[in-house]
Amino acid sequence: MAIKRKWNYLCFDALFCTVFSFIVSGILYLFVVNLSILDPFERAFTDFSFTDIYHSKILDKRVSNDIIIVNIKHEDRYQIAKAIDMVSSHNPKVIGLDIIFKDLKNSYYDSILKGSFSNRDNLVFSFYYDGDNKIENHPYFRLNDYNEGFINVELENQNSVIRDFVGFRNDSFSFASKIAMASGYSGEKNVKNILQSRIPINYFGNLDSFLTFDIEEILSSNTIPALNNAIVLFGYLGTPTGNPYDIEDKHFTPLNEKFVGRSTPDMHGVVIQANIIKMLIQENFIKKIPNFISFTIAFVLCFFITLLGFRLKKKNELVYDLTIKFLQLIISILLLYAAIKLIESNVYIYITPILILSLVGLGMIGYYTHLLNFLNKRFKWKSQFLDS
Amino acid sequence: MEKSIFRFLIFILIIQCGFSQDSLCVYRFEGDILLKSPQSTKPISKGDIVTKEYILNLFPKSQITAIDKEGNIFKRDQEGLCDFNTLLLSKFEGKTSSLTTKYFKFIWDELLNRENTETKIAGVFRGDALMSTPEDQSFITGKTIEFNWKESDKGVYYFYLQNLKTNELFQTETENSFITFDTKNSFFSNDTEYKWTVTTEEFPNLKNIPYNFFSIVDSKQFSELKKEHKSLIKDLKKLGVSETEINSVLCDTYKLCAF
Repeated sequence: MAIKRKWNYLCFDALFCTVFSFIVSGILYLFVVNLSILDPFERAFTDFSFTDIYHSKILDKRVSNDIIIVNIKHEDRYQIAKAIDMVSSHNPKVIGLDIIFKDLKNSYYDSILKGSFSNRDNLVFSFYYDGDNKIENHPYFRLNDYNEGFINVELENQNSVIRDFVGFRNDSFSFASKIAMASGYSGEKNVKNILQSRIPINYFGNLDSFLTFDIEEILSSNTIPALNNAIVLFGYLGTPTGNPYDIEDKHFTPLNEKFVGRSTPDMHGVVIQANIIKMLIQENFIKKIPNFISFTIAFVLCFFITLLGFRLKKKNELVYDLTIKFLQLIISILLLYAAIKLIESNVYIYITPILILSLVGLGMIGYYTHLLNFLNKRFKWKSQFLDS
Repeated sequence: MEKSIFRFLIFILIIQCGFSQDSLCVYRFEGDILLKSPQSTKPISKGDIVTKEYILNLFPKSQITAIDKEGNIFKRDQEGLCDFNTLLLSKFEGKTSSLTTKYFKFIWDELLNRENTETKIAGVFRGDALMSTPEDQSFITGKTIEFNWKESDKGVYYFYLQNLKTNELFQTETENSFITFDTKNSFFSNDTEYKWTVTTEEFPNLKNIPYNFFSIVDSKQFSELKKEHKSLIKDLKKLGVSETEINSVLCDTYKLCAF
């Protein structure tokens, strides 16, 4: 009976310590991270995710030939038109143009380009929203049955690293959604249902994971059988292709070799679109566990870890002091492993609060002890932990 | 008896699964490879589809990487004829480590602080490079290849030449300001990129000195590259410039050099 009562008191201590940890963490987050004077901390943490380790260091290299990317480099509209004609002659499923022809340039080249667009019902064009403005192809190129999708990748609270995307907004579909629909893989209703809200991009890979051609290769080839029935995207992949120092239309993604700290952007826009399309056509979505579940798990885990800490400290304070850092390291490694294992199964959990609160819980035991002593002296507060 | 039949059936099933692929797409290739079908023979190119009726002929120092619809990779670099089924047996398994192994290896490396200590310099290379010809980003064809560089007071030069395909490195010491090779030497092959440098330091940091890059091409590829300048060649001929001088202009200005 006495043991059971002691155990109950210890559980109460662990519970109060957990609540105490949450309150302290909340105050620290409010003042340290959110204050404008300390804004760099918030900016640094916004771009960081522990699970980027999976994409950056662990993800196996994969290759696909159902989506083919043509690098347009800095070729003129005539070359692009000829390349579209050449690709079209191979009956691809869809040709997506991640290029915007905003103005008219040369009447001869523009008319040839327009000719390449006409009588082709498998072309998907792109546009983007710049605030309230819509930046799109010049009306000269907008023929009947014009199919276009937005290529915006910026989202609220998504600073530099492109993790999530929205497939349908402002009554418009995204470029990737349009291509998935035009190639017959997804229906409009399906896209609207799933993609109206923000979803994580299940990245397939970078440039090396897709079959790519330079525009010169397209123009100089007689036949490229792989183009038949493929989704072909025209976009910019650097000059020369894959040039790591060419950062035009290059963005940060979780696949960046440096998952924390400063680095150069790692993925061209058209490759991001290819990744989203790949995810849509395979319906290989990442299930995101709601944040409130993450925080609930954080609370429960913090409680049990704190309980373990109390038991250790009660048994032998020296052993506790010697092993607490080691324990925190082991816990963080195991929690991150669990999160990465979930990502491998296409389940994303917001691991940060679970990780941080579990570690804070252990660290707060010492401060909680001082609080208990104070409460005991002032209010005769009972605690199994203080009673020897 | 039943066990043997069962095992035999499983074996057949596995073989069937392995050979149920009906086509592979050429993802990448190096060197010279021919694609033979009953109707024709042609050099392989990226994006070609290889099916059961095709036979590949891999020439020395060539390699093919093909992919199937599931994204499996098939690699082969053995010289000789190779049919579709043989190519299927060349599945590239890649690194077989599980996620657990990779993750804990990563953690271990992080704990031991085993980062890449890449040399970083806050500058670029200008001047001080002794190399003259072949210039950077040249295309070379011919029976011989001659490397020339500026003379230095030190009088002794250390020449380095690397085959970027095989990573073979050739180095030598000389007191001359040039060196010539026969391109029939096995170190050289068509459609291959090389880099070369020369320095007066006996033990230079090879990662921190400038290089000139060049490619060796066969006469057919060279002719194709020359076609881009046909209007210039035509104009020079009209002016009475000799063939040798035209070649010299192409080499000096457009880095197309025939020896």
